[in-house]
Amino acid sequence: MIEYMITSTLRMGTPIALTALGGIMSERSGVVNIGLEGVMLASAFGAVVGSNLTGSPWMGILFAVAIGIVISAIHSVISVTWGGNQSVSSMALVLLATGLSGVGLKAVFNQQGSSPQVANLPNSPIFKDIPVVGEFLSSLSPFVYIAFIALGIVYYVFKYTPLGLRITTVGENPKAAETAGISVAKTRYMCVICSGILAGLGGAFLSIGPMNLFQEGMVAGRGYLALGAVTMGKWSPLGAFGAAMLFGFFEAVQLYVQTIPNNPIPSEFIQMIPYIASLVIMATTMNKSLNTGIASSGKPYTKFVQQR
Amino acid sequence: MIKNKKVQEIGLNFIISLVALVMAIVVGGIIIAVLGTNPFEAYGALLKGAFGTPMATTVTLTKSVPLILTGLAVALAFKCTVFNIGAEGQLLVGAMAAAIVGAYVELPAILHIPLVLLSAIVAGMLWAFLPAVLKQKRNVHVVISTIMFNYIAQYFVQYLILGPFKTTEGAAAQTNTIHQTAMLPKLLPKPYVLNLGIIIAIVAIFVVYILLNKTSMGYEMRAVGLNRNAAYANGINVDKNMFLALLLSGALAGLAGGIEVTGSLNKIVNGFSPGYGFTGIPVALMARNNPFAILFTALLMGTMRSGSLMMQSSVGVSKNMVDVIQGLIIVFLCSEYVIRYYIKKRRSQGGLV
Repeated sequence: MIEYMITSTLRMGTPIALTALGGIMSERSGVVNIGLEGVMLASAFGAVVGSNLTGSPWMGILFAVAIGIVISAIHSVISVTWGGNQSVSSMALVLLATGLSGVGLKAVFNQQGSSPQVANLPNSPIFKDIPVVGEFLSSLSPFVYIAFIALGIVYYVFKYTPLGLRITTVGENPKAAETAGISVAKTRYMCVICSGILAGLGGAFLSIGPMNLFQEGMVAGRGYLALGAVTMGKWSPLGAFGAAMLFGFFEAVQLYVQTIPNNPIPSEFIQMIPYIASLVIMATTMNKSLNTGIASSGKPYTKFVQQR
Repeated sequence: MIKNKKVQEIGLNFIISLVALVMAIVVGGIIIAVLGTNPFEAYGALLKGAFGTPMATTVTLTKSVPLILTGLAVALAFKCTVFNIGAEGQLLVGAMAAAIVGAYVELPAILHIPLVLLSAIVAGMLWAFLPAVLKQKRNVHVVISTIMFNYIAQYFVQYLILGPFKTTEGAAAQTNTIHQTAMLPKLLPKPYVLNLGIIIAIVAIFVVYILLNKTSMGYEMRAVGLNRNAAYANGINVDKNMFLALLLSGALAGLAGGIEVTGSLNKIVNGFSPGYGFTGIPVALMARNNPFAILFTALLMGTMRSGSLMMQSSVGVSKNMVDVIQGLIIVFLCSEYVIRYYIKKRRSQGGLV
């Protein structure tokens, strides 16, 4: 039971955690990226296409990451160069991703609603020979390890490197950053594209991780949950990762409750659990006086917009 | 002079929207061409599907009605800098409330129709109330909470349709048909579908316009939207106004659901809304939050939705292409500052525009 819950939590939490790390990258540089939901969706589709074309799920991941880069590049053009409203631009990404994956399903597979089955990523057999924990470790998807590695990298970058400091400066006070010779635009472009890569990995996990096909609407708000995790984790990589895994836990609970025979609770209410839980947790952890977030988050810094 | 400036601003907004629309259609056309279809044929099929016959035209108009209202809902909140992505959820619960009151209450039509629409409005408002409270009391981001409430509404309505309010007339996943007394009168003889809903939507446009521009409440909301700090400094309660804006926005989205049920569907089928609430966002953005312009942008988006099926069946381009085009419209609308910048630059160099 405990092992089942741990495995299940890791499985449900990993895509949210990867995307939440992406959210951290983007938000810490001062760019709101609600479009991560769209990035996940498009990448989930890209992963299936890549796996289908090449027969290799690893190529599928590469496709997913490439799509993540393209979609987030659009977002960075809008929000960094053009100075457009970042929440609004993010909505455009979600619409674009919904549309393109639907159009793509018809164009590539000539199907609607879902794709045919493709080769998916096997679990991690390389850990098989480790005593005691080998069986458990090898039963996890490689994505789980990728997520933890990503956490390590993001944590290290923000904690110990000049680059992390630069990103933070750009997010908090772009004018000061520019005065110090840091290119605000370049830093933000880099961060938004990194967030696209991470959310792309998260999306790929959804379609070619434990599953082996793409379905319309399969992201089901996980991109938004990831952003909730970023806020709850107070913009720290560890906090956001932890919050994402908490959401993963609630999804695992939801899945578990559904398998209980003769359960009196209607399944619709069980399916609401992750969303309600995220609202309740946000409502209890947020505080009006604290937690102001990133100072220049959502504020464009470009010649096209008058600086106040 | 002031009048002149206002006209100039409206003209500029019009140019920005037009540029965005044209760019989106061009890029959409390129995507269609890459997929191996003649884009002119595809767009032709879309227009034919929307306006090819008098019947199709009335269907298109009817499909635009909820978009007018969700567009107004999003625009009203936007005027006060609240981004209400939750219109979809508010529409769903509004429609559900209308379906319940329409089917389970018996009254003469003169009372029944207003009661049904009122219950839809209240339900939509209630669904917006919760995120509004979460924002005011606990500072939970409205964008994220309204999205969560969309999902909750979707499952909640699904539960009601499959559970307590499942139809007693058959096995389908839907509610009972509402009473005749709750149905909106038709404006045209059968088989045309146009109903009173379009008139209500147009009235709503005027109401929102008057509310925003001729009342002190609307003045405060716009002041908050224009400059929060200045509004605060002048004694306007910023939180209260944002709270109100979200509630009113929910009311309009709920009304959209109510009209969809009383006017067109007469019951709720699982998954009945093709994303009316979400489409309200491009409708409002393209109209630059101007209530009167929403009439036209809603019609535009309604045309795309209505014609997309024909495009799919006759030239084989997925109906999801419409989502792509709407996404592109928003993308290009975000270049607003760039367009303004160059127009200003040309003006200052003595050029005309």
